Amino acid sequence: MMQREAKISNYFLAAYCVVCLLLLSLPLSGPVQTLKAGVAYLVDPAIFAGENAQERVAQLPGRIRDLIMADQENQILRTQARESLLLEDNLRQLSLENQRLRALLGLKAPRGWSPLWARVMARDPLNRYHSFLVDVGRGDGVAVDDPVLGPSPRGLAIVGRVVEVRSRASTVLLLTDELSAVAADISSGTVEGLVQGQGNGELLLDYLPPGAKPQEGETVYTSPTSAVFPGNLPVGTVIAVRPEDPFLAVKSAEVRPEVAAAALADVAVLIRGAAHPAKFGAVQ
Amino acid sequence: MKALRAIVRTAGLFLGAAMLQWLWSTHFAPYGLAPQLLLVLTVAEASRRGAPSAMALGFFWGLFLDSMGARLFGANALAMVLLAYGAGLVRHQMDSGEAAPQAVISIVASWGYFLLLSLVSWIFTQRFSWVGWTDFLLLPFYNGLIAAALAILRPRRRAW
Repeated sequence: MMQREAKISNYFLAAYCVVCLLLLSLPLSGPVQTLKAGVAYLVDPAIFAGENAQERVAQLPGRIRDLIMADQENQILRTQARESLLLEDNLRQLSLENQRLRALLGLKAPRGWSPLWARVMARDPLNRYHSFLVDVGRGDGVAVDDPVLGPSPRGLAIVGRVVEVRSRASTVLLLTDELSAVAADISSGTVEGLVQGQGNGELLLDYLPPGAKPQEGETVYTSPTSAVFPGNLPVGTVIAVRPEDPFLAVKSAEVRPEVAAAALADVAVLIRGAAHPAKFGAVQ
Repeated sequence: MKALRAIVRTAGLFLGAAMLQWLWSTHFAPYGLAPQLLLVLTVAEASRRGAPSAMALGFFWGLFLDSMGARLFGANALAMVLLAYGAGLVRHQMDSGEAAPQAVISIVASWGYFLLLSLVSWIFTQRFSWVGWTDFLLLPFYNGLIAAALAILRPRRRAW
């Protein structure tokens, strides 16, 4: 057995040595180059595959780290996305509220009227229940007796009327002034009276018919019969009903104005026809 | 069936060892030191199964190493074949299958390998290609360590 193995070994040795010596002896061209190329053709793909695998393995810690960080970032982004959804919902609600307020603020002007927004430019503290100055005038299409409205929870409400017009400014006589009056009816719409300013920030709804039953908390609106103001605009809220005077055929009630004119910053002047584009623009 | 299994085993051993040698020497070689795994395996094969199979594996492993070189195509093959023959001879003189003898044989075979390559280079290119004292002194012991580890880890019942 050993001798057989030795014999085979000797033959193999001789054969291999001859081949190797031939390869070494021949110049590196022709058949030798071909053989070398053939060996390379067989082993190179394995080496390339091994290199790719080694690169992937080398990148593995980094990729695992990236995966963990991506997962953490994903968690954070999911939370932010949920918060964004809430924000989006809030935004949508705010937008709807904005539209609603715009609709409220946007006066549905009666036929032939357009609101012109103006800023309260000057106000005398001693006359805060009587008048103030706004920054729109003749050049903006304002005329004497134009109604002036202010924002309130119920939309635009009566503030007063223009009594003096200059080229770029106007004087507004407030409804709370003693010289102001407007035909009005209470929310039931069946009884009409006259709202008059008291000079102290309050109003009096007077000349109600004897059968009228004004209730506290009822809203008072301008009457469609008013010569100056459009109808159905809020004037104020009934805060007290005066006791009936047996010698008078009318009733009266105290009314709190819908708009606190003394604190107003912006007012809408209703002008006849289209609004002047120079100021805020008509809000429909 | 047996022959097929043997062929598959041999091909798998050839390719696996070649790739492991490439991987080790390319990516896990601190200070440029990497063991001659193919040399160690050739010696191990000769110690366990005899010179003929070891010479065949050594020849082709040598060609694999030569294909990655620029010159002296066939030098590694020749050196591996001669070392396989020598380890096969030693196999009949002593029990070379255990860890210690394997380590010693591998160390000696490594020095022989370096010297053979230098000799072949001197004969065919008139230049004595020297591996350097660091490799000459350290690498054989590195090979011996690998050989001992392989001898300890090899399956006992089956042939290598």
